[in-house]
Amino acid sequence: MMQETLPLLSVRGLDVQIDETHAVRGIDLTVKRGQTLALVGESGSGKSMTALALMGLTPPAARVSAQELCFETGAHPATLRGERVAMVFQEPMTALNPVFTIGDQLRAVFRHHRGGTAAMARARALELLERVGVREPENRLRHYPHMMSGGQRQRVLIAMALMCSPDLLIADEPTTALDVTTQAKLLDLLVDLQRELGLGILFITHDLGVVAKIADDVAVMKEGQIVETGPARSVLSAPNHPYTQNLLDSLPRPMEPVTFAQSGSAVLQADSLGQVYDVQGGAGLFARKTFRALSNVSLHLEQSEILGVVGESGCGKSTLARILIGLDSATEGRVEVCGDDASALPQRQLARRIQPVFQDPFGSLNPAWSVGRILELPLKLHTNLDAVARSARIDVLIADVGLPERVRQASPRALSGGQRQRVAIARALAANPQVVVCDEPTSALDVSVQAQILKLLRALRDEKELSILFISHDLAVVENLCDRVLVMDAGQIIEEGPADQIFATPRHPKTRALKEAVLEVEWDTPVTGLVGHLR
Amino acid sequence: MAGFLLRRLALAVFVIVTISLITFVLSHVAVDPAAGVAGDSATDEDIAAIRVLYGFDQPLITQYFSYVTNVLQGDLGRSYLSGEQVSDLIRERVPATALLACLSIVFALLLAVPLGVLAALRPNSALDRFALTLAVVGQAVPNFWAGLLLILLFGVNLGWLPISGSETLAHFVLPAITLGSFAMPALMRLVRAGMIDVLEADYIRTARAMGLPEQTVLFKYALRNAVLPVISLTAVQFGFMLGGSIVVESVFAIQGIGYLAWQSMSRADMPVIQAIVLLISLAYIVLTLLADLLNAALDPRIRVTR
Amino acid sequence: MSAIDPLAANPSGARPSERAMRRHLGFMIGATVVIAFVLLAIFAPLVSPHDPFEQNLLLRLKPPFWHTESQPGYWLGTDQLGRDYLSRLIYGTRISIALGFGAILISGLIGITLGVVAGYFGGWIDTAISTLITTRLSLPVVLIALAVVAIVGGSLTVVLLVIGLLLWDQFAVVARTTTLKLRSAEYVSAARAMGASRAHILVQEILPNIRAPLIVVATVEMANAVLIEAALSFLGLGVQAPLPSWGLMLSEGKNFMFFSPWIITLPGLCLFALTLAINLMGDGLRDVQEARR
Repeated sequence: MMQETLPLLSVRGLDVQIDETHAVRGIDLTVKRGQTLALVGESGSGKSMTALALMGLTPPAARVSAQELCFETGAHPATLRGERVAMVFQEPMTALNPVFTIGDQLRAVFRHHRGGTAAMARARALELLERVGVREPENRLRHYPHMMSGGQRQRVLIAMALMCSPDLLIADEPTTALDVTTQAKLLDLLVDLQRELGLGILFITHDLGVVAKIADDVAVMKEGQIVETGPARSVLSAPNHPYTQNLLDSLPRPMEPVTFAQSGSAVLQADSLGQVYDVQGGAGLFARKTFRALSNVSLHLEQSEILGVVGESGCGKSTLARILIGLDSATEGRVEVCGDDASALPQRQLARRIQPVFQDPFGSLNPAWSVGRILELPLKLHTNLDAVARSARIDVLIADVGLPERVRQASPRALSGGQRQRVAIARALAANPQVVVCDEPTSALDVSVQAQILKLLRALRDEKELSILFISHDLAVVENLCDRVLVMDAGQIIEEGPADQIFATPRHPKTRALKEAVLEVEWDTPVTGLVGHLR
Repeated sequence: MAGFLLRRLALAVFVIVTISLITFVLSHVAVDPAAGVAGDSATDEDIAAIRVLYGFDQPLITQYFSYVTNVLQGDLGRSYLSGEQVSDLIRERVPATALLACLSIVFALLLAVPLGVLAALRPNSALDRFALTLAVVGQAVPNFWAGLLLILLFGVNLGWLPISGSETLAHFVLPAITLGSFAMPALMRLVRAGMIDVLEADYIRTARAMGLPEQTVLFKYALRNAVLPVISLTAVQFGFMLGGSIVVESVFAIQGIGYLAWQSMSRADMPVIQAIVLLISLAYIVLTLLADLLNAALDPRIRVTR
Repeated sequence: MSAIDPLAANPSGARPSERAMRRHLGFMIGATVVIAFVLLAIFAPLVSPHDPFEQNLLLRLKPPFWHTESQPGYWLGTDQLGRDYLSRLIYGTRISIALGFGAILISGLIGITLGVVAGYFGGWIDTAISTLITTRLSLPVVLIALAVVAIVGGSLTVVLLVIGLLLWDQFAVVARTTTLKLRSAEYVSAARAMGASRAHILVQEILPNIRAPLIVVATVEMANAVLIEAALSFLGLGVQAPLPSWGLMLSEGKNFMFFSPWIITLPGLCLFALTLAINLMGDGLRDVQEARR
């Protein structure tokens, strides 16, 4: 048990209001030395605003009040920024100043708080860069942020936060923008650092898997309030509040393996596809650099089958999607849709057989049009229906994807992310294609919305005998939805097989790494042993 | 970087060649150059003789190439009116215009940068509103009218400053204010908008979260990023000033390039007009090229990636 | 679905910009003044108390009504040829308004076409058009316009054409960058994947979404065109006498300004009011657009 000392950070009745919005409504938090408190919630729950309020970094329009908001010493944590309280943010790509070197930025923090010579600051920076796993720290000090990857930048930011050995670290979704394998490594690093330095951590996240991996305690936040709090283990295994239960239920989990009967005839088939791009900005005026995005990719998809394509960012999965739906043409290989060579089909003919659903629900619908007009376009292009029949068909489509009828007159701007994604699916289905290619259709959505969209896709497959190619970085989602899976890395398919088999016994080391990086919450097992770790 | 420089230079050369073509067409095709050289009192026979003598009967391509060859050797032709070398005429006038443009841009920057920064620090404050009002009013005032009003107020009513001519530095005060206040609004808005954007950037939040003092955050971390686009606009505005000086110089009778251009236009002195358009375009191209290089030197992202 | 139904609060989703515009004080003032000027221009013959061209050498340089020696019936006095200044100012509205709208119609058509084509097709087409834009940007507008008018001879049509053919650069720059951004937008990809025609994508998917920033450019360029016409006429190389262009009136009046300062303040004020109103409209539109992002 914890010994009764003063908590590192105590917050009571924290309230944040921005204009009309009541973002945080009187919440209480306690962070203990050497412990991690996870603040978990969906987008818009007020969790990030809470972190900013603790640091005194809220936007000028925000009004912050609290009955108690103090650090161990009694001081407001905002007065100890950089010294005893430090913070790491979500977006490592933009969190470092682009016009100063890494070394300049690290040294500035140390010298402001601790004084001393530039050489001392440099030594400290080197020590920490090495500790957080930045390669070649000597060189990195002279580099500018844009010369480093997101994962490396986040390590630099963690090093920067630790420059003055703080007691409390506030981390706002620090791994969300990173690839899953990078995320796993960074979480390990944070856990190690915490043990080593006795840090108290307030970890803000939307991901219950992350909570299970690193948190001692958890506070679940919804619409500005904390609905449930307690030790992570007990909250995750036996939640009291229905919202927490709902979040847990929304997590994608593997389905009962469906034995999909392979018939051998493919609706979509690709043979040894390859794609080579010219890259701008070679060394000289006429120098050409090329980049190979895809090599020797073959696949086939049968009627009513859901085929998953998994891989990290940059593995070529989106390039593959663009080729399959005819937006790009491959430099090598060929695609067959329903037995016909896709490159020989005019785009309009191809579009009647294969349709895309994209990732960004805010970018995939033309904001200048109403939903009804958006859905009418494919009907005009691909069917001979008259205006009355088109109108009737639009109503059917809207109902098919589970949207209320009045959505029809609405502008996409007025819809939520989940609703927009439903409209995008309806548009894809409008001309009754045989195949739908979904490129990360749920990765911009909250888990509860994601669960609904996945359910919808499954239902559509069953009702309409639709074939779906489902591209994702998230193994849990793919495992939940797909019959068969392709794993991609560096433009190639490295592993292929039935979903349950791939996940049970991954053969390729990269697949294994992906698999191990999946953070899962334990289900239906007694609360003993390790805290909700890998299944 | 080398590739970027080469491409940028190639573009500059291409643009200047295009502009020389445009001015050539204006002076050799749109008007009869022989009639210009001959003057108003010339007979048709005189004009015909001059046409042969000056080679205006040659194919246009030949004429263009001999024109370019001459220009490259510093020979811009002779004025139809005075018969003087155009290059001499221009050389006499350059200092006045250069001085006017420099004073104006300094005046504009001295006003725009502090005001833009202060306005950005307190958006929607009284100062911010004042700055924005100044910008929107400044943009709407026709500069020849502003010049006339300044003459009435400071020159005539108060008698503080000379109103016409370019003999002393005092002669340049009113013109520089007139021309500078035309460039100020755009610069001020850009400083303000840039600073507001930068202050909302993640890296400024990081700097604050690390407990760095506010003045370091504002004047080192933020300003350094916010001035990058201002450099390009300053170069562009400077170029506009060279072109815009024609109006201000004619109002204040400053013996500069603009005044020369106006005098030449009123009398269709094509060689002079042609040379001035070419010169100002060249100045603009060189200025924007320099601004690009300066930007590349200050912004590590351009330095490496482009 | 989420507890707060976003549809309930705002069913169409498009309205807030219009409402925001109506609430924007600067925009409303600007729009009102511009509309007033347009109405003045259209109904000039009905509103003007006198014939703007009628000279009366007995009534020269009479001051406006606030002076003691003002002439009854000539509210804003008379000019050096004894013409009614108010009527001339009202007729001057016609020139500025016609020129402002005419010029942006021409330059908008050229610039938007070039910009959208460059932005959407990219490659060598973009390189060619971008070079054209750079060339245009390197040309000193006032100087070129003056030179052309000096050669061709000044008239309202010539000035309108010259300005219209010169001011397309900002339209092109903005249309190009916004199109470039939208080209890779997922809804454009969706339309392409659907087999929609190029014309459909350019006109229906892209144009409506770049309209807002282009309208802002249009206001800036309109103010610009009005000022350039005035500058050309002021320098004597624009609209020719006896037409009552405000710039020309300033030029004709400047020899008399030391004794009759109103002869330059009045047309200058008109120019200032019109350009200010156009700029206020543009700023209002820009504010509303930025707030929406």
